[in-house]
Amino acid sequence: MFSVLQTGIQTTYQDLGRLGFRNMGVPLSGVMDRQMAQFANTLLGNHLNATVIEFTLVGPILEALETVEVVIAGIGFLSSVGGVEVPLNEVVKIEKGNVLKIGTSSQTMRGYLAVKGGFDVIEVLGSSSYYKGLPIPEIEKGTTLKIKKIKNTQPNFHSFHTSLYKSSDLKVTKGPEFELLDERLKQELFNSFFNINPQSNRMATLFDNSVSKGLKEIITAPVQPGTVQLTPSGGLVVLMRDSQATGGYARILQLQPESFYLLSQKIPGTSIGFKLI
Amino acid sequence: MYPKIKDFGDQALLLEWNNEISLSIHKEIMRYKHTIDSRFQSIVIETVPTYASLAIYLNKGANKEAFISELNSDLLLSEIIQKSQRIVHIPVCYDIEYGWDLPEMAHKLNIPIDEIISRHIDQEYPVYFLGFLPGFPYLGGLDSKIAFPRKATPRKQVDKGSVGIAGSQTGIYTMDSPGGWNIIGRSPLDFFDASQENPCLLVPGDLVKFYKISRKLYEEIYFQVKNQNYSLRMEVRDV
Repeated sequence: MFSVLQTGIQTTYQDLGRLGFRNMGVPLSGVMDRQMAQFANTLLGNHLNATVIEFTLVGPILEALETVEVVIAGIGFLSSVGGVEVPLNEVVKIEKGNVLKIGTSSQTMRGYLAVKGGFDVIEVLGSSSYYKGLPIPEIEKGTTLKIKKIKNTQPNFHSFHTSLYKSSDLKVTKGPEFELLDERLKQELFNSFFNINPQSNRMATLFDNSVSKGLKEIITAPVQPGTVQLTPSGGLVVLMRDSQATGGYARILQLQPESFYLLSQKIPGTSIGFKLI
Repeated sequence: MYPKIKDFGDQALLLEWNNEISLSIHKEIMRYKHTIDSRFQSIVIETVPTYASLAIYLNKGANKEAFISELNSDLLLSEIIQKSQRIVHIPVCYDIEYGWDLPEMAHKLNIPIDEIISRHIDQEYPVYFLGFLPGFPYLGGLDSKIAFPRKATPRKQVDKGSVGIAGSQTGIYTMDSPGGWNIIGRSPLDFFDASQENPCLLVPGDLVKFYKISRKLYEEIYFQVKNQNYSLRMEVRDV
């Protein structure tokens, strides 16, 4: 168990998400950067779907109430145990009573804390991923984080492509309304950089700049994480893991899975471009 | 009425019908949905219906091309899915305390508030699909006289149970949420409960009929629901 001394920012329980309930209007949720979270779980020999903690720009400060093995997955988050710096992306043993402090990163947006066995959180509709409106507990100062007990784990040395995060090109395919764009608009879309807006969150990534014109709203239709929408005023919206299952803006592009992980790690103020494959 | 089949990213397909809100398209979509859900369980994760399209999310490694050719065959056309239909009666208190936007609508539509309410109560609304919030029903068939555009700026909070109008649709907020629908009343019922085996009170295929209740009855029903001794008013009709 851990006791939460500081929560960090947007620190939530997540697993691989809630499958099979989108027709009820329940979002998928789940880790934003699946590559990184799965890497952390495999290093510990956990199931890929084991519940981890996702944090955003600033990690939590936790006191270990028992001796545990963890992986802090991320890039640039300065972390320490009992005041001594510990490496990211490796198994770290924390003795009972020690304090794990995960700092800030200036390189990527999100990091993951996985623990051997996985965090022990109730499942709602088949998943422990936090989504407001469902009774998954929030992580608050003073919360006790429970850990599942498992035997005989088999660590895997799964690869982790840190090079992915250096790119600023998002690979996309055409969305259902792509053909409604005129040539000029397509040119603009594929030959511009778009700056990540600080209002971006687990529902959607927004951008500071827009394109010169938009598309009319559509009759409400399915959307999914990675769908790029164009609003009537020319704004671009990329839907993320907590997005609704249906939406009314034109769906012009769809991100490839790896580009989704990349986008979920882009810090506000940095920029990306779209590349049609 | 065959749908157009489009790729929708790596692991999904989109079936699209004529781009309109109609009951006949809705029935086709539900027929496809039920058939695909029951026949292709091994490769389909889930299907999401909306007014004029159906998203099909496939397992990793599913053979998309083979699946598409099955969809194009006549196999699907033989199935009949819905033999009966629930008519669910939803109590709504239309007092201004809850029907925040009734005065503005009455003013702009030049229709008295009482007439807006009676026109809202008169119709039976098919549940086309659920979306926007867990369990939120998109109801079609609104009287065109009381259709009203979404608010230009969404409210920061709309309360759970609020009944709204957006364009020619009406719907019910199943939980507190920001939102831009015009609010005309509030229902004391619970429309989504994740701890139940069937979490949604309303499902696609149901018909909804609203009825007007007083503020006092609102309170009574509210506490009956809370104490779990409210029984839903509904009937089943053959189709």
